[in-house]
Amino acid sequence: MFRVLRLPRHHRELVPLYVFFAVLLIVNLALDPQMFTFARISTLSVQFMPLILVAMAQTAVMLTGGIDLSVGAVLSLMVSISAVTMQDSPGGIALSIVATILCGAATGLFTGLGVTYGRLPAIIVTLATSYLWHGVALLVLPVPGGHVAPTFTGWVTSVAVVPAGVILVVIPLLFWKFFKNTRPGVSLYATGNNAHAAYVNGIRTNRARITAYVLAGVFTAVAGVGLSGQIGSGDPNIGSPYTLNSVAASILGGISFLGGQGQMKGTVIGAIIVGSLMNILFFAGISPFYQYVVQGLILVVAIGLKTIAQGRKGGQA
Amino acid sequence: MKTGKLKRLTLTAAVLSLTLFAAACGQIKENSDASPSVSPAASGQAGQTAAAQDHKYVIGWSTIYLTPSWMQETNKFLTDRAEYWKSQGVLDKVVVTNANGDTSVQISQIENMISQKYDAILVDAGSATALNPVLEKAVNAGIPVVAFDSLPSTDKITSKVNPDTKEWGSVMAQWLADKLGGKGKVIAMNGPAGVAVSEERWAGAKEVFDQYPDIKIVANLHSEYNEGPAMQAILPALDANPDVDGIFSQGGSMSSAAIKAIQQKNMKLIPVTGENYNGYLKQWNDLLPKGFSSFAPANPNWLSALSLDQAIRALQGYKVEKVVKVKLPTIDDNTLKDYVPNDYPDDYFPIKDLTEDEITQILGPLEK
Repeated sequence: MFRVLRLPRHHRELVPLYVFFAVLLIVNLALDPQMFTFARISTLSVQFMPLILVAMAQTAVMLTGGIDLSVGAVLSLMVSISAVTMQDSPGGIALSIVATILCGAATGLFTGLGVTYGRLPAIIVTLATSYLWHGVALLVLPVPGGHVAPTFTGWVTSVAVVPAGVILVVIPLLFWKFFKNTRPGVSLYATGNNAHAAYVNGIRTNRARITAYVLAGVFTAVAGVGLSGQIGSGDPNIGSPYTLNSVAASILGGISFLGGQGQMKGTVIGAIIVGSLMNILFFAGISPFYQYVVQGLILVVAIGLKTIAQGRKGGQA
Repeated sequence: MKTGKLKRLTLTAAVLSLTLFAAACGQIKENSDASPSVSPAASGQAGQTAAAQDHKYVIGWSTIYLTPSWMQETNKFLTDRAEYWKSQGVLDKVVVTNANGDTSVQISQIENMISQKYDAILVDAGSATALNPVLEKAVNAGIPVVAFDSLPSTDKITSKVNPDTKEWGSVMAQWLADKLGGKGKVIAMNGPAGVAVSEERWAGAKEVFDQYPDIKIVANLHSEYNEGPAMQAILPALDANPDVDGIFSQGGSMSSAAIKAIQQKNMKLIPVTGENYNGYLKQWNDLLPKGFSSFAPANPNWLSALSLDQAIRALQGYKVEKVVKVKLPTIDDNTLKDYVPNDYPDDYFPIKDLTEDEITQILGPLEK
């Protein structure tokens, strides 16, 4: 019966994730029958959007074999910059978005240079920059506040056939789909797979790593712009929990800690799973004291399953 | 071969998922017995004391944290008060959600309460501004929202029931300024930078200190509201300022760290401002005979119970004040004996219970 599942390899790898995701959706739907109304989908897409984007940022870095512990702090900074720079006019909104994205790219460039030319381990550099960017966020916006244009907040939170939350995720995702098959994209995967071999074969591994961090900065900036729209303000502390959630979403989505393995669409599904688990536990009426236990256990089991699967594959190869 | 592997994996995933599904279904069943909340008739804003008997309220409390002991005591006051309203046939249940410090999660949880058509929502906000849109959405959907403790900045919610945060700072600063005779060196111990409550308490204190040109703030420290981090912050500050005359601290665990550090360094027992944190009250009580003097406000845990009453008033169509300013309970050298010694652990906030009369006094008389 599995003959019908002659899917392309990049889908076949993700079948267990698809199944898990499908069942979660069914459970969620059973508990929240209005889940597929436009109003709910719009709300959910805005809820999931920042984590999906930050997880994509994390994935871009993890694919090179690195890790970025500063994504949460960068998200706080981006939300703050967005809320401080935004004006009410359409031009003012656009300018603020561009400025935020450029700042995101700059943070990525800074980290990327530290990791490559500073020859320091990513985990240390990004731990250090996480304090740095959080500090800068507090300088930009010392207390929650700032101003986000009501028209922008309205667009982000409005009910629509194609909600803003979806648009903000799909554009970077389409960009990634295009990017991964370009020369820099292939270099990024190759660097993560085996940096030495890649280097010997003429791939500029440093450039690939820096590209990954810059992309991560840009994705996080888009998340920050969207989040500032969702909350109608800025908050210099809002990003911190995203760091570990983004790692969890990436791992759940099949991204290898060792780099070079995994696909962006897996990460997107992983992030939606992390987000919807919280909703399911709420709708199931599980006591808040157990919610995090249950959530943790489900993640451990799901990630464990995947690791077992990969281990077997590895053993065979 | 590959297909076989794939099959096995898919099956495992499916089995796991089905288990989860079954577990969740069990939960739904258990829940549906006790939740008439989903009926769209839930949003009873108009005055309907009689109708309240047919439809018992489901009220949510969304809190940014639940694990700190202050929050657990607050939760206890809420559940105790909820029992009273259940016995009156008014309330079905109170559902508590804990965002564990994640503001984005708190937004989702409030969204879920709205989509489940809860009758009212109580909130202890993780961010002064980030929850405004979702709380306004609740109010627009006809769901009364009552905030306490950490407040959202929007004025579009039904009611805010809280002591004045700035007053907390100014009352303590005034006590310290009086104690120092209007001059001296002061170390300030504040909460984490960028946290609204901490900034507001400090703003209140600053206004008072600014009136005394001879009071110098020699160090302004920021740390978590926790003894460990506060200790790390205060020790170097004391080394740098051994001649400090007083300490302004805006949290009991910080005050506790301060007084421990002072004793460690064999310094003079200078005045320190505190909070009704039990570990601190006990030390204060021990040091009182040695001439130590302090002053402690209490952020009352019964704010949750008071807010529940306010939400029920709103649901029953009574008038509710948009802002209910709760008088800050305070403890001084003389009233300390009413609180300690006690049998509670250090990590506890002794507070006097709230009587029915006090509730009426604070929230005002019942008026339609």
